[in-house]
Amino acid sequence: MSFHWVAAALFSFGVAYLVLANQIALDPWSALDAVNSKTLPQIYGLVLCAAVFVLWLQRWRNSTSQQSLEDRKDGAPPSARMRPLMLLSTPIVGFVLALNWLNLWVAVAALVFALLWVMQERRWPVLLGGGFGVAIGGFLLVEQLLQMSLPIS
Amino acid sequence: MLENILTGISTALTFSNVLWVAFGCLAGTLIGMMPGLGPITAIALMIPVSYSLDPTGGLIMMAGVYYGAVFGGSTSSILINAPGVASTVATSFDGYPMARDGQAGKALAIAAYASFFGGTVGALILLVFASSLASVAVSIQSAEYAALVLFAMTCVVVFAQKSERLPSLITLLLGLMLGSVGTDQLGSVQRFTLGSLHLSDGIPFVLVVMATFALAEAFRLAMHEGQQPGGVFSMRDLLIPLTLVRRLLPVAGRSSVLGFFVGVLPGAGATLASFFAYDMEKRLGDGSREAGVAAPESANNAASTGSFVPLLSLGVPGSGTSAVLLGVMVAYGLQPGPALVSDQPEIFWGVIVSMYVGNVFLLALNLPLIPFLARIVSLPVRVLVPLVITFSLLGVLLTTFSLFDLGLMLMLALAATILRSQGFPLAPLLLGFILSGLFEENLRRALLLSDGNWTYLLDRPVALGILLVNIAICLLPLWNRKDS
Repeated sequence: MSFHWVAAALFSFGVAYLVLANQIALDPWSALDAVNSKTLPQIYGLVLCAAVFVLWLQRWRNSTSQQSLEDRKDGAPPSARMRPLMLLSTPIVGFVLALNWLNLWVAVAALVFALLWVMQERRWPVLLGGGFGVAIGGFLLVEQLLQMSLPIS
Repeated sequence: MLENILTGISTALTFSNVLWVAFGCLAGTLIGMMPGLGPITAIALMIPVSYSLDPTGGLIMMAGVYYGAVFGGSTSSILINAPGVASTVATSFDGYPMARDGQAGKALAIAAYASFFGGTVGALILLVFASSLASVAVSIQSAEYAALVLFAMTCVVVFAQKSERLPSLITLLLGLMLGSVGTDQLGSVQRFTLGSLHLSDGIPFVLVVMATFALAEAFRLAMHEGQQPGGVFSMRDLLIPLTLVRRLLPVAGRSSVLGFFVGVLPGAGATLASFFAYDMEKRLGDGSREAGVAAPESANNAASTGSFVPLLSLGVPGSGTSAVLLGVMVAYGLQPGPALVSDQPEIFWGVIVSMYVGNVFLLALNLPLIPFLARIVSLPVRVLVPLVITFSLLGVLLTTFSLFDLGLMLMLALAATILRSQGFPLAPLLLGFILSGLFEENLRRALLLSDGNWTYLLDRPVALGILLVNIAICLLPLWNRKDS
């Protein structure tokens, strides 16, 4: 992702935050306070937008943008570098969804297995040992040793 | 004073607490040695364990984890040039070249001895000054707190590298914004919850820590190629000649004192201390690589101790790590500050004495283990990344029990990874997140007391002094530019 997109996203976030800050409902007494529930969020939002704009301007002025520097340093196009993020996020999303109907430790074993697979680990002893090892170790530590119950919602 | 120290010793040296500090040191070292995982992550990962202990035992264990992780970070810094935490970056400047030249054992041994020395000096200074600092802290009220927190935030931005000042300000603001989500404590108003009940209590700090440090670091590792460690380790490397010890003692001494007092400054912390010490040795010392390892190591350990001063006596975290520790203390129902010193001296002094006990254990346990422990950092990235991700997710799940939080954590981690890849430092984000509530609450309380009169902040000498120092610090970059 190029710096310009990041700057645009940050600026948009600042604007959205400002809009939400202005929508905070205050009672008549609080509204008269020198600093009420709205004041600091409004300042944060405004300063963020200003800071992002100045930073964007600084980098725009530089002939070599941060994006091109990063690309040269890593020797890979941005899309290729972002690919592992997508691949790693998929098992995590699957883990979160699976927790609705799977036992936590079974889901953990599956998560470790999937993450190892995504990271190009193909040795079965590592895949199975990693998955079951973490799950069994976690179960023993959390539920047996620490006696913690997990009311996941 | 002596009575307090004896209270601390009797608390810290109970069998169970000694066991917990030893466990903390070992666990901290193991976690800290993982590339990218520093004291913040180590402490965050150990939070579920600490919840099963009483507050004293839990905090004593956390002190061990803290020191262990700082030392562990130096190990990965030296061996594979992958500092787990910013405060060990300076160590890698000379430590990694030493490792590359087959002196990994020597560099690790110097780092271990220097860390011990720095921690000892820091603990001694803390023992002497803690009570006087605590008595000064009694005069600190809302106005002063607000000014102090503002000072910490200013330091984070102003003391950053010149090119990182604006990105630091931006991530600090993002942290403040994230910290403002939830029910406003003074106005009882819902802010930025988007109607979701999950957000009404705000975003849990463990979630933000795990997302921005552990998970984001794992993503970063997956995006880049992992480095392989170099060097062979043997027990003989751990013995350093007496001539070298004599040469390094003054280096460690001055670096420790410098480190402690820099560490006391909120927001400055161990990173700045290690860079200052490294720079001082390179400019004023003999410039050897051994001194280049000893100086930042003793400074960052002394600074770690120093950062406990504002945390314990004022309740103001001096660094990201002590901000996490503050969260742990609050979770225990403890409010760090003058009240902690007078009402629960066994906790206050127990933690201080434990810092020294932690240092002794760190040396005794870890030095002989260096050759073996070092192998952990050689875990291939393809195995390390899944483990870090799993432990991070479990860390959040075991503290919040919420699937919504896991989803939010993933989104924050992705955003943090992208921000970091564009050169935005993430430590200010965490500091801003933790300080957000503290700043707003104290500023608003001070203004409520003064009936909305802003000059009230200037009528209080301590608050005025802090604000003036704040202004001076803001002007520092301009003066530096003129000087250069």
